[in-house]
Amino acid sequence: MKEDVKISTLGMNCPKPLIETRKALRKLTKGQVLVVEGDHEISKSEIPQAVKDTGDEVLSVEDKSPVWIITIRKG
Amino acid sequence: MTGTKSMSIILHSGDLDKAMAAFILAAGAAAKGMNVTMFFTFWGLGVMKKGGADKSKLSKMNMGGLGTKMMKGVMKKNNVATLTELISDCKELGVRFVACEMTMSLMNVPKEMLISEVTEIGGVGTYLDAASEGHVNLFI
Repeated sequence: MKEDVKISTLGMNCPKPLIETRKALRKLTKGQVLVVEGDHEISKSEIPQAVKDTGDEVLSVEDKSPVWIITIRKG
Repeated sequence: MTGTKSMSIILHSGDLDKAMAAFILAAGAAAKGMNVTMFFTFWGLGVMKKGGADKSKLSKMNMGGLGTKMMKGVMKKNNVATLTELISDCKELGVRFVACEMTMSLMNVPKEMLISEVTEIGGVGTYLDAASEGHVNLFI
């Protein structure tokens, strides 16, 4: 899937990966795809949960430990 | 989006560690799609004064400012956001900032002394209106 926007949260600590994900999602329109890359372990599970809370869709969570890549479609 | 949840936080403390906790929780909740209201009273209002966030000190082990300086260094090394950055993030994510009117008059803080992110002034009624709809209400 081709992303519309890609952001990196590599090196960021709690709660910045989650905040930067939400800031990026807010700038997208419905149906657009955001790719978030990071290495903050807890955010790997917290971002998908937060995304579901607002009705956006997690398309995939790739684990390339310690790095993860989460692909989200804006709802 | 269905059944949006709400959160309210009273920031009463002006301590760096407590203010950090408050803004981390507020930004995190907003990032999870919650409606967040922060109410700044007493020493907490000081954090929202122009330059106030930078002057905030640790509640323990401040050691005349040395402890706070060291903690800020460790936080930077660990890529933890600064208080100023978190305030800006909260604002961008739609967190509502309310300054306590009583504290403003008591401590002689006119609106002009507050950072521009604070767009509302209110009292106990304003806070309770938000808190009575809150799923998470905190006093820090």
